[in-house]
Amino acid sequence: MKVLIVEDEALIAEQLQRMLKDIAPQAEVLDVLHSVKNARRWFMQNAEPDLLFMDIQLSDGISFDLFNYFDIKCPIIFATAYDEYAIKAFKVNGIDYLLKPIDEEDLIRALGKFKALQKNQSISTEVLQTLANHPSQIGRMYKEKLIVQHRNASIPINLADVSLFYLDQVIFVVTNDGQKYIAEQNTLDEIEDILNPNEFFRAGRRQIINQNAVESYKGDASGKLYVKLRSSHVSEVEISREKAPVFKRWIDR
Amino acid sequence: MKPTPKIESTPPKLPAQEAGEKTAYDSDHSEVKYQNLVSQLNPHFLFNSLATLESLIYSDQRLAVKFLSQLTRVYRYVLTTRHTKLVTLGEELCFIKDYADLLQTRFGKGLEVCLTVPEAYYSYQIVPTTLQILIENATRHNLTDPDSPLLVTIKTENQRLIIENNLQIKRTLEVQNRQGLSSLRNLYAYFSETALEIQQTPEFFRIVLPLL
Repeated sequence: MKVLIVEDEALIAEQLQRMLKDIAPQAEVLDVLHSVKNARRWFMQNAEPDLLFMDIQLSDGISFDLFNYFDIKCPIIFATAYDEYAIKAFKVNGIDYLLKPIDEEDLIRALGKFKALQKNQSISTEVLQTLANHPSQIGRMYKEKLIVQHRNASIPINLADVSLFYLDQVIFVVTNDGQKYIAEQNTLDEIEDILNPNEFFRAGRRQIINQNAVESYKGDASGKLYVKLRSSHVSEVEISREKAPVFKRWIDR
Repeated sequence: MKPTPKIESTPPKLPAQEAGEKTAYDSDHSEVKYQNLVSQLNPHFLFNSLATLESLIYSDQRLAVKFLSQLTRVYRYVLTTRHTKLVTLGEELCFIKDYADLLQTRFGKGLEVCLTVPEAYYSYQIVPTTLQILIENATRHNLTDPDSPLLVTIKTENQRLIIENNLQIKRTLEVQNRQGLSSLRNLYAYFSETALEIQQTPEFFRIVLPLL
């Protein structure tokens, strides 16, 4: 953790360094700057630290003025002798506000906040990394099972085993082995929401089909498609001319 | 800072005074006493001094003890002279040495206080903490940067006391307090025929005090 200290009183800065050495030995103090002028020069020449400790009233002005020159994004722990400017401190990215002389407990708490913040940031970096490596995982997770009611019992059905959902007053769930259940959902839209669009296709207003259940398909002169499923319940599912190209892209991937 | 309610004071009654003048005196004197209290309790001075002391306890115990003694004497002086109209310049300068030392320990090379008042003047009188108020004003409004130090000089000139500093105004979030200065002037107008003078050039800020 790279730390920068902006404090105009040398002895107070020294004490902060001593405390940091004790409490956070991993902290590396990059520099101690005693004025707005020096801090400006530093930020022009250096990359942002991980954490910034900053007094408010400095020997040559007010440290808040730095934010007029730089878009400082790192977390800041403000330290001041007297509690006057706390509200302004939090308008910039102040994560804590310490009163001088700095109490050890307060400093530990402030560093804890910083660590928590860092952890959150690294988790989100981790997630992004995972998503970058496995683009298929981008977005939401899809369900693997669907619960249906059958003879007063709840039956979990593997969605991979479902060949077809179709609407006929209620929604029927047809499995590969030819079993037929009634879904709890009232609309095909609700069903569609929980399905992986790579595996299931909304064939029309009344059907959703599983890719694995498609045995064959053929077109006619009008451009419509007729899909033959492995399930014995429905011989063919009709796909409109408009949807036909979408289906072809979906099935051939 | 929020406007602080006026602190009640009971200045000693002056027998020869007319009723109307007394009121003017009361109000001015209470104003300066309020200033004294502000300096006495100035949170930045107190807490920064304590933070410095903490650091010294680790780094330099001898200096820490000296710093603590000076801090104690400064606060004791401010407390004991709270109800005193006038003190000798010698007493005030003794206090100012401590006060200036405290500031110099804190600001290092950013501040220099130069006292060159001949001892012959030590028996003259002055309103207590006048010099502390003026030095504090100077440090509050001017850079105390080692690259550009603030130099405060206290000296005598033609039977007057001069408090002078180089002008290098910095931006501050603290409320500007010209009122303290003007009430100090009113108070000196009460004690002396000669007025307190404020002289300002682009480079310097100077207060000329009548010696009482």
